[in-house]
Amino acid sequence: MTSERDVVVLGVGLHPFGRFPDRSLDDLARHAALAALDDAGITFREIEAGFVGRVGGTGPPVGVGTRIFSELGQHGIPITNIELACGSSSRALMHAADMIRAGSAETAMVIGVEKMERGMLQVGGAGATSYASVMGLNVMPAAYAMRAQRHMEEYGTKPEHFAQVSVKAHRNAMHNPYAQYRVAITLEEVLGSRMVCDPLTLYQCCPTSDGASAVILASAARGRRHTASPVRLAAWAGGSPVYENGHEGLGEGPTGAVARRAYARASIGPEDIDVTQVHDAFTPGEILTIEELGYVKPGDGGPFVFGGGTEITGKYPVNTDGGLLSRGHPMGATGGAMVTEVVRQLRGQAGARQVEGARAGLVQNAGIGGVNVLVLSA
Amino acid sequence: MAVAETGRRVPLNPDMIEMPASAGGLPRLVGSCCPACGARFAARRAICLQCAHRGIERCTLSPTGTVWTFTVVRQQPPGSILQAPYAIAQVQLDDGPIVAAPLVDTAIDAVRVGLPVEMTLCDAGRDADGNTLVAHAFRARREEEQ
Repeated sequence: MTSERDVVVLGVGLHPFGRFPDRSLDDLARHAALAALDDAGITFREIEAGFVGRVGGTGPPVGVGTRIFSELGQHGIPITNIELACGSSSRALMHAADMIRAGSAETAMVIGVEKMERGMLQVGGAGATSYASVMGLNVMPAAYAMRAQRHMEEYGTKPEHFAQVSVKAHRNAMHNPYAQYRVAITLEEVLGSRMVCDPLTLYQCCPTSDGASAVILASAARGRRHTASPVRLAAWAGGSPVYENGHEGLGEGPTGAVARRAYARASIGPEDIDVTQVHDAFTPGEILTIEELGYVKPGDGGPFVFGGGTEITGKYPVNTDGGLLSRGHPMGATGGAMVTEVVRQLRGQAGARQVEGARAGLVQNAGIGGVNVLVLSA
Repeated sequence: MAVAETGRRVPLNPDMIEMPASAGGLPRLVGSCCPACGARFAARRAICLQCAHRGIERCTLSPTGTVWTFTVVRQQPPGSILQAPYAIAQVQLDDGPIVAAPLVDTAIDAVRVGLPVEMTLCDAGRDADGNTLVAHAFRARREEEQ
C-alpha cells in the first residue's frame, strides 16, 4: 500500500568512475546531474531541494554544493552540503527523503561527487602530526585488516575467502560501463598481489577515484506524473558508533542494528532482499557486512562468499556493479552510485549483470563514524 | 627501538603518556576515569560515556594487556616514523580500555591475537627545541618470550 508521501526514485545518473585529470569537480557533478534529469524526464526547474555529498581534501572546501547547483540553474531552492566521509551521499539521500516525506519538498536532487589523489588515503589529511599519524596508525586498509584478523581468529575465516570478494567484484564490473576497473582477475592474482596490510593484498583495496552520482527523489504523488511504476525508497536508517560493554564504538557504527531498523520500517526481512550493495572499500567489508545484515550467521560469511553465495546468480547477489573495489570509490559519489545500481536492477535495466526478478534491494554505505542502510523496492 | 640517551625526553602526545618524575621511574599510559561510576577510557574525555557524569578525571592505565587484533603494515604511509613492515595492534589493557599502538621489539611473525604485551616507549623524532620525542608502543611481554 502506498501513500502520497512515500518516497520514490525518479531518476539516477552517473559520471563514469576512474581518473579524469582534465575534468573539474563541477564537470563531473554536472554530467551526473544532467544524466539523472534525463533519466527522470524532468527539467531542473522541477527540483525543489538540492544536496551535495562530498568529502573534500583537494579543491575548494566551502560552498561546493551551492556552486555546483547554481550551474544547473538558479530558481532559489535550498541547497545543503552533507559530509559523512565515504557515506556522504547516502546520508544526503536520507535527509532529502526526510524532506519529501515531511512534505517540505515534492522533489529533491542529491549529487555525490569527488576528485581524489592517488595513493593510500591519509586519515586526518596529509601532513598530520598526531600520535596516530606519526606512529603509522592512520592507515585505512589497516582498519579493515584488523577487523579481518579478528574475524579469522574468532571464526576461522581464511585469506582466500576475503580474496574471493575481489575476484567476484572484478568479474561483475566487466559488465558495468561506468566502472573504473573492467578486467577479470583470478584468485591467484589477488592473493599473489603485493601485501598491503595482512591479510589484505593490493587487489583487495579499492582504488581512489574521480566520479559523480546523482539521484532524484520525489513524493509518490509527484512521481505518478512521470512514471506508473517508480522504484520506491521504502526505508532508510543511519547510525554512529555505540559505547557498550565498557568499550568505545570502533569504526563505522552498528550496521546490524541500523539494518534491523530499516527492515522494520520497510516491513521486510533480510530473506526478502534480492540485490545488495555493501561498502567493500576493502574485501572484509563484504564478508563482515552480510553477517551484520543477517544474510548469514556470524562466522559464515567467508565460506558463503567463497561458495558463490554473493554472485549475481547466488542466494544474495552483492555488489553486482563491481562494488567499491572495481567500480571505484570517489568517496562522496559512492552512496549515490550504490543506489543507482539497485534502481537499475529493480527496473530490470542492469543488462548482463541483471539479477533475475529482483524486487527488493538494499544499500549499506559506511563512512568513518557513520553507517547508512537504505531499502528500495520495485 | 632504543631511546636516545642524551637530551630531554618529551612525550609526543602528553595527553596519552605521563613521564616519570625520577630517573628510574616508569612512564605510564594516561586515560580518563569516571569518579561517579568507575568507567575507564583510553582517550581523554570530559563526559563519561557510561553514566554521562561531567568532570571525568585523568588517571593512569594498566601498562600490560593482550593483543585484541593486529595487522602488519607493509606499505609505507606518508608521515609515519615507523618503517614498513611494522605491526600495529589494538591492545586490550588489563584494566579494560582498548588502545591502538604499534608493536615494537617483537618479531612480526610472532604477533597474534591474544599475545600478552606491555607498554614501552620508542623514539618519535625531535621537537623544534631538539628534545627527543617519545611515544608509547607495546612489545611482547618478556615472560612470554622465554
